Amino acid sequence: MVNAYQFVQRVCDHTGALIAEQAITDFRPLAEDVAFSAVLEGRLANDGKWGAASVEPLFEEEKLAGVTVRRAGQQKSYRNAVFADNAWAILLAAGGMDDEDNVQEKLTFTWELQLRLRDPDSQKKRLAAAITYAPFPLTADTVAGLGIAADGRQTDIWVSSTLLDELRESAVANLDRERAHFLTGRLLNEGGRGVVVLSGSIAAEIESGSSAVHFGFSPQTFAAARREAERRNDGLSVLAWAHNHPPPCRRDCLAVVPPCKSDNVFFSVADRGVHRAGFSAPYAVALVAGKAAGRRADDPEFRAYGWRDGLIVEKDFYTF
Amino acid sequence: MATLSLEVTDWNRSNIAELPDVPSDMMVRDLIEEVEQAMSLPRDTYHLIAGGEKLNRAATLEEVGIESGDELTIAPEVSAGAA
Repeated sequence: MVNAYQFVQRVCDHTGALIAEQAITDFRPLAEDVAFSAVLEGRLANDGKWGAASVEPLFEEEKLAGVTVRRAGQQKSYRNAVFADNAWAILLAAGGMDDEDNVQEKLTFTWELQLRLRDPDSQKKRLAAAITYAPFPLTADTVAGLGIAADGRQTDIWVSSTLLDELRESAVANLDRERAHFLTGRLLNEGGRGVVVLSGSIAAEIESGSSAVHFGFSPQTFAAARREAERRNDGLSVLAWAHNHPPPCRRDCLAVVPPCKSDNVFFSVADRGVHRAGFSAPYAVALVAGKAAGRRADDPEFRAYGWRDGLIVEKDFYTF
Repeated sequence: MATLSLEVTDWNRSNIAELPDVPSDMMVRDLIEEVEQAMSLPRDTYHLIAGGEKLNRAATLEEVGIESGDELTIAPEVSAGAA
């Protein structure tokens, strides 16, 4: 990444006082989005020869409104909102959410981006590093060619009913702790839109612990998933991950008749951190299973999340 | 001090960093920082793995037995959760 500037994110409390600030280094989702958009639209070959991206400030009415990312002759602009997840991470790292008595005040924090010119004299000497980028794992398949009857439905995500049943069984069997899976499938270019068709899963090894409110992914968890995907050699790529959110009252939830209105299907700050760190590819998808309002915990609902123009958003998905 | 030629891939092999001149007395945490920078990754989230083992950030590459030509993997340590 080539940056003449340093983008610094400042997080302030409800009084405007600075809690913490941090230089933004995590531009990879944006750099990948620029290349992926261009590949889907036929403006770039899918050969991985895109080189490094550069990031420049985007000003509107003399205010820093976002960034423009350039790569291999392509460019795309992103609003400041793409850094909102970082603000939470900065706040959590600074211990800004530790005091339970003041949670409401802490939730009213504000953040802003500041632009600073890099001082070339103060920069650390870096090791020489040549980066090779892999092509995106696009296949020549189509939704129709895979035997999926779309019937006019437009979506970025198709999930096989067999896979969804498997994930549902896992969620129901784990009402007292979180479990996670890596999901495999095919990535398609449907008329300039990236579409993932998910059909396989690899259970995530529990290396860093699991409880009712967390699932730890260790570096070995990721490495083991890659090894297993390579061992299978079934033409599918790891394109997504899934995990469950057990209900707050665990298995006792099943004794409540009729089912309560609590809803535990959401993409938490921690989930966003996993997606940013491990699934930054613009086509990467996350499925969350959990108890929905008015439904029993053993009849979980699924919601899908993924990238859109640098933001992690909820997305529609269909089964086949 | 010897220099090492290393290859570091991210966990899904989408990025490969070739580092031809890595001092053998470099701390693991410093190499992680170099790779995070080169791959534009978020800071303080990643570890290096060699031979299936997570490398001790506070040790040097020499101390953890890394040799020239070794292939390392960089992968995050993160937690999902409803908390």
